[in-house]
Amino acid sequence: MSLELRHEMKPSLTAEEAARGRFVSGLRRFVLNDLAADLRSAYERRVEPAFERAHGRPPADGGEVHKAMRADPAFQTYSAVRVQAQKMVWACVAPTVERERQRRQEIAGKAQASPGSLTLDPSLRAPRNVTAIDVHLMPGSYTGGEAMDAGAVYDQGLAVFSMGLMGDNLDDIGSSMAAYIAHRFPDFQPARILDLGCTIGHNTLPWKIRYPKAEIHGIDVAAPGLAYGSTRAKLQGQELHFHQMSADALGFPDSTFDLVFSSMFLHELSGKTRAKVFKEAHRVLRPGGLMLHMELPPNSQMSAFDGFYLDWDCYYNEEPFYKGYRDEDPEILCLNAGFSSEDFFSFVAPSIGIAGEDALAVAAASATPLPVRDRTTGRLAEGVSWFGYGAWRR
Amino acid sequence: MSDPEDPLAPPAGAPAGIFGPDGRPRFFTDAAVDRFVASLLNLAAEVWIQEERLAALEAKEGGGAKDPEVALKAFIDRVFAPLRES
Repeated sequence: MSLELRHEMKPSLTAEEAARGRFVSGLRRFVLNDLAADLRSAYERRVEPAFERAHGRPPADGGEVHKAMRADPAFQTYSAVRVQAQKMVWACVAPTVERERQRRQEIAGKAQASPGSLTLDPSLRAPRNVTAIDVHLMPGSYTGGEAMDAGAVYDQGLAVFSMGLMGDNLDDIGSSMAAYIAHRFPDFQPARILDLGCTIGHNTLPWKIRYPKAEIHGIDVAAPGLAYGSTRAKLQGQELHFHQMSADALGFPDSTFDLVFSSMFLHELSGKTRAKVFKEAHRVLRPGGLMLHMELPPNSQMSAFDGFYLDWDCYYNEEPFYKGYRDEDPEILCLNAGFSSEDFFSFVAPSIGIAGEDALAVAAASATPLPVRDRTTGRLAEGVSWFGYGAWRR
Repeated sequence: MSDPEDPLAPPAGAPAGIFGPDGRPRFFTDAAVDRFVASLLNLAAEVWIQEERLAALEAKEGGGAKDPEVALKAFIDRVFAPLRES
């Protein structure tokens, strides 16, 4: 299913646009369920046995699986269809976004007086990991088009892309993470929260809903998404503060925040930038504060095949730092930034939209964290769950 | 050796030949097949759009409304059956 957005900037779709979006969502579901099942079957029936015959052992990691799978027709079919389906996500929303530009501006103008703020920095040059490539095959990446266009493309595109598995306000990740933290650490009441690389603030909003008294800030390097996200939050009656800022050079004083959060952000950064981001998170956290990241699970916690499956995006979805990130150890990343090993934790949180709040409460209360599940953790599939980790600052 | 900080450099460990001369991913031995797949999917989208709009018109004329999500799944399963592993 293609999701209908919940705010006033939701597009007024023509019958053709609605049908096109529905088709692309359905095609993605076909790829990620049916063709993905064929991919696994091909690996188990053909590719892995052939590799074992040639090498006397199974593939050791996702890289070896990738090389072995390249010539298999199941991989070729899955990949060619998935790449085109991804391009179709953005292509199907682009005409609507362009047609409704004026309407969006009028809505934004009316919402401007609502609580919340947007602080842009025209002197900030977006980094090359945003500007040099079409991230996620999205033409123009996060900075393309006019005014808020890239934000609108992202919001509407994500509604098609997510197949209904990322929440009815595209906020399932943020909602699940916030619920997990609230249940696991009921005494933790953050007064100031920062979301790094927030794009349109879709996963920033749930923190305001979970902690309504908290002051919430979101930063990103791309102005179109921030401008769109600021309006999007105001239209939903939530006071958020958006800043155009780079996560590796935050413009906040030391010890400003109680919680520094990110979701699906770290894998978009190069190794050097990522290390700086962790150090900045440590710097702006007050003692007793929490750094929390929702991300893809590390390769070390997955089978060789499932590591390969997730790392597909690194090579074919314009996310060049994806595998490099997933090869890293989350705990080491935290330790290198000044956090202590005893303050580190990682977990798997069920999707709140699918499993419900009670399942999150059970997961948070359990002495034994849920394990990373190869087929559902971090993957848009039935029973999706999210991998998270973090560390407390002393 | 490529610069690991450069987003345009091939990702570390990328198998040889995964990108075509245009720098885009390539999956089949003959790059024309990759382009053909893309065209086929675009065509399927156009056919579905006509199918959904026709169904809406028929429903208006008393033909009975069908759930478009159910109809789409049947359409995709039918059209793309040859892509599945047997």
